[in-house]
Amino acid sequence: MKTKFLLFQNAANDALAYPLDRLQDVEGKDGTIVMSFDAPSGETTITLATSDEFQALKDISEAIGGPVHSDGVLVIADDVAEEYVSSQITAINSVA
Amino acid sequence: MVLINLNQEPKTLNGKHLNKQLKKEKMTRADEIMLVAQVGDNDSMMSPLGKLKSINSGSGVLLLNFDATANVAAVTLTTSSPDEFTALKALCRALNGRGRNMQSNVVVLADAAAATATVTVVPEITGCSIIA
Repeated sequence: MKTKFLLFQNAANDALAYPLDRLQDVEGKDGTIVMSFDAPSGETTITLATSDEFQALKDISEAIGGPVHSDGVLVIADDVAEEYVSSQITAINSVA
Repeated sequence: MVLINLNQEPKTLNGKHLNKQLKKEKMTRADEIMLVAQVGDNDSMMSPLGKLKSINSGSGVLLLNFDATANVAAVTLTTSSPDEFTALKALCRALNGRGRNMQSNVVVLADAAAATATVTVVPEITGCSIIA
């Protein structure tokens, strides 16, 4: 079975990847979405700054459900290259 | 009339045999992708990909964290690229591509004790420094 990975880059020399099945949930809040993972302490929640939180949630969901024959690498947020899976995501606020 | 014994645990869930379903969830599948690495002689590891929790990059390293149910909780791989994110993406691509069709289900992350030179899963990774 193929394993998709969710990738985040906060800064140079500071990146994280999670197997998709470690994603527990995503909560939309006021100007942010919080992604929770089954991961070691200090890596369990990633907070992303967003414009329209619900659209960001839908965009992430669509990316995750994308083509089966992709390379399995989903860059959710990259603050260095300023590339985001959704146009509604503007930055990584925190990794905790 | 249907008699229901409330003291007896249900044997089926959604029409599927519950014991078989529970066993499947706990067992390592035969077609599971296996990650192996070797720091040096007499110091190596193997873990199913399903036990991988996260990969954290630092300066010149990738730290793979696993479900610490036994002896291998973390494996540190070294990277040559100044951009660890490139190595991280290359590793994820390699892990995603394994176990299909005729490909081997074994991923040698890094073998620092290989006969001639260190063998690694992708060129961006240069070796394995710690198994803990």
